[in-house]
Amino acid sequence: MITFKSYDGETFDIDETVAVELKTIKHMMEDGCAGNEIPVPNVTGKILAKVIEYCKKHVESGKAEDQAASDDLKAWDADFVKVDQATLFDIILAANYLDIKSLLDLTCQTVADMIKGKTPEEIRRTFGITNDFTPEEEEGIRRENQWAFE
Amino acid sequence: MNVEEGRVDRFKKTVSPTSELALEIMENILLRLPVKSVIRFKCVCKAWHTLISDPYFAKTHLRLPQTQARSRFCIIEDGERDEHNYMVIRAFTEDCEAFSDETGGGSLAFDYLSDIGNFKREVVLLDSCDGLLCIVDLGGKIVLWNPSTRQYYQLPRNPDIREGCGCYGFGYVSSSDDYRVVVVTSLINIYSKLLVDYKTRVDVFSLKSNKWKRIQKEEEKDTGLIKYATFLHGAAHWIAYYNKPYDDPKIVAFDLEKEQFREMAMPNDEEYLKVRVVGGCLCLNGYNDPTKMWVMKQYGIDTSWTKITAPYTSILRRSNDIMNQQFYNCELLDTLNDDLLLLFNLQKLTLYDQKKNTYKYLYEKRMWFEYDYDIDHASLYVETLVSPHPQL
Repeated sequence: MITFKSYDGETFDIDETVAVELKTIKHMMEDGCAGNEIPVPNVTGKILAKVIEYCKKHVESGKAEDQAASDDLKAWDADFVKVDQATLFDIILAANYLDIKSLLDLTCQTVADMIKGKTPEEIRRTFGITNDFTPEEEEGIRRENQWAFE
Repeated sequence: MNVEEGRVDRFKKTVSPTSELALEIMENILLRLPVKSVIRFKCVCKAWHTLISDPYFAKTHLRLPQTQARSRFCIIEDGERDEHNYMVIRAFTEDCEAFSDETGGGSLAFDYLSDIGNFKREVVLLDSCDGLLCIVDLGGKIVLWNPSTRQYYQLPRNPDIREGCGCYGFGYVSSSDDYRVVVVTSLINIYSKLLVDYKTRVDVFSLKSNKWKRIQKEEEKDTGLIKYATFLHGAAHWIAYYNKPYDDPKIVAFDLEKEQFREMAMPNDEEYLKVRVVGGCLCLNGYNDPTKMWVMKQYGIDTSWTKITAPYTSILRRSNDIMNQQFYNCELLDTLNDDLLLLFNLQKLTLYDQKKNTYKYLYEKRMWFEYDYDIDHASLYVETLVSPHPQL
């Protein structure tokens, strides 16, 4: 059993088989840098709970091999990402920091599906990006690829 | 500021486009988008524009399994109107796999020819490679086109290649990361009735350097290559019918990297006009009898040519109505997965599910009053961001 401690002091007891899904933690353990309690400084308790929930589910389901179990897992994943935008973004950051590839793939794909139909203006609002093009520059890019804006 | 706003704010600060982390994550997300969306997002901000326009982004996108797994098709329609030849190149922007679904259907297409100006008679879809289509016409005009990004590039003319005389091939050399077009010209010098000499000259265009290069060897070869090659495993492959009457036809392959020819044997029980790549293997469709098919199961091993019954023979035989010749002279274009076959002839492009033994028309030739357009060529391509322009 391993204990994780989040940024805001929450602790979680995790089975070793689940802990190794978080590659960053796995490497810490292998390098002998991890004591009994592993601090996870960049991730809050709320998000760490979600990440652990994901890893637990995937470790359990990893044992089943049939199509039905695989479909069930996909459905579970689809439900798992039905969270507000802020939580989704936080999970992405956590999955990236903790190096959990499948969770990073799932959440990035979710964001991709969410933004694919948006206009550039909507994208800027979603991610808080400032437009550093001049109006002429932007117009030039739009004209070059007019068909993509139709 | 409440807690929620604070959290979103913290994310936005972290993923402000100037942070490395942000760009790394945004790249991960952007690589998953359809090409149309990615092109549109070029104007979001300068950092995104740079990221998306970088050839490295296009390369990474190309190699993703989900990019490789989806196919689209492109056709050339050739018809006559008011005594003029009228050619249209139509690229379909729906993935073929979407059609096999019961709910899938309705093709989105756009006509390309108008953009690029005049082509002379006989425009050919030579081949597709990494989402780039190579289009040639009888006048020697060669264009590289990416239908997904709508970019195209007309190759500089090579004045040494005489109109109508070239045999063309298109492909990619991975060691140089270079797309190349090869043109083989057969020159016959007739000195007298008895003294005729045949020479073959090879010119190669490199997109990377934007230059034509003459491959020096002007060899004595009396081969008659069928005009258009198919690219596989680094080489362009033509069927070669020898001028001497009793010679067997062969497959002549030009290795684009080594710049060397090699020959492969091929079956000789039928007339074959083109070698195609089906399911990653060289494949021959009979011209007179389209059910006669041969597949080279192991590339380069002459004995591995295997005769197979065209999988759609059962539908060919089922057509009792002679007037309803929808499968007349059908050619197998490719397999989309183990069950789906893409067939085409002058009239229609058909998706055949061999497991369920059902078929569906993806496209039917247009016939409007006196206007009659045949489907002359068809090719599959993948949706990519690869640029047809030289990287200068």
